[in-house]
Amino acid sequence: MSTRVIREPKALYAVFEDTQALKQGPIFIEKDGKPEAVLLSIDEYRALTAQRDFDVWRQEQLNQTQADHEAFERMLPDLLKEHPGEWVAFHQGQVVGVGKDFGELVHKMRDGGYPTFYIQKIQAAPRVAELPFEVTGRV
Amino acid sequence: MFKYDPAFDPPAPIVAVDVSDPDTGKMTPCSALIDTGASISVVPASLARDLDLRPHSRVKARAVGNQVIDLSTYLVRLIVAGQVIADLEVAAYDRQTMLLGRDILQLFILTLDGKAGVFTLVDP
Repeated sequence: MSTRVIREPKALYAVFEDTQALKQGPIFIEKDGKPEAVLLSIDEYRALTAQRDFDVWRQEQLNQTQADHEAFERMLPDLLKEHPGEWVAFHQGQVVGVGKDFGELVHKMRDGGYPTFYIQKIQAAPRVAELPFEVTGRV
Repeated sequence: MFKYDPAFDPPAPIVAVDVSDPDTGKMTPCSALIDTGASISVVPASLARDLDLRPHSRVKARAVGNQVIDLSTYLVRLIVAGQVIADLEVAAYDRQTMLLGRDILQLFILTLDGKAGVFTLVDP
């Protein structure tokens, strides 16, 4: 992967004639000595937009439980005193269930007729998931 | 017994699973990578979108580049190796295949025979 700089309009047209040009890396377009734009291969563009789209969607998903999550954080000191290590369920900012078993609490919420609920473990530190590194390609 | 998927380089232990929304029953098949490095199972974000899963919780995830991000988690019903796992909590991430993490693998006896390119996933 390399980067190249185009300063002349003619050179930009040449890119369209050379189908391999963008596979070698992005091409920076400069005007008056300043970078103005970047030409990317379609694969690189899709990779960039996929990450951006995912980040937008991820935030939308977090927003759906934000109110209950904030309620959880507000009440965590009291919950830690009474139910450390257990699970708690929230609905519209209110505690609607506490239990030692995750699955049983989920069933209880369903049986209780809660269409949506937020469930979290009562512990001082947030739950951290380990996700593996992935090699997406050779450099 | 399952065969390693040669579409991956090197070949990877991939198993076919069915993932469904326990609330709606809507189901979709998916390929899942056996991944002992993942502490939680992860579905592709596209699958969560397709099933219109509702977030039920969140975790902090340490992902590529050691970056820590918040991820919503979802409840799904999973069918893997002939076993049904109800109300499994999964995260969703921008990836093509599902990850079967240690939360699932601890329920099975997993044997990997990379030399023969086969693996087994058995409910004891």
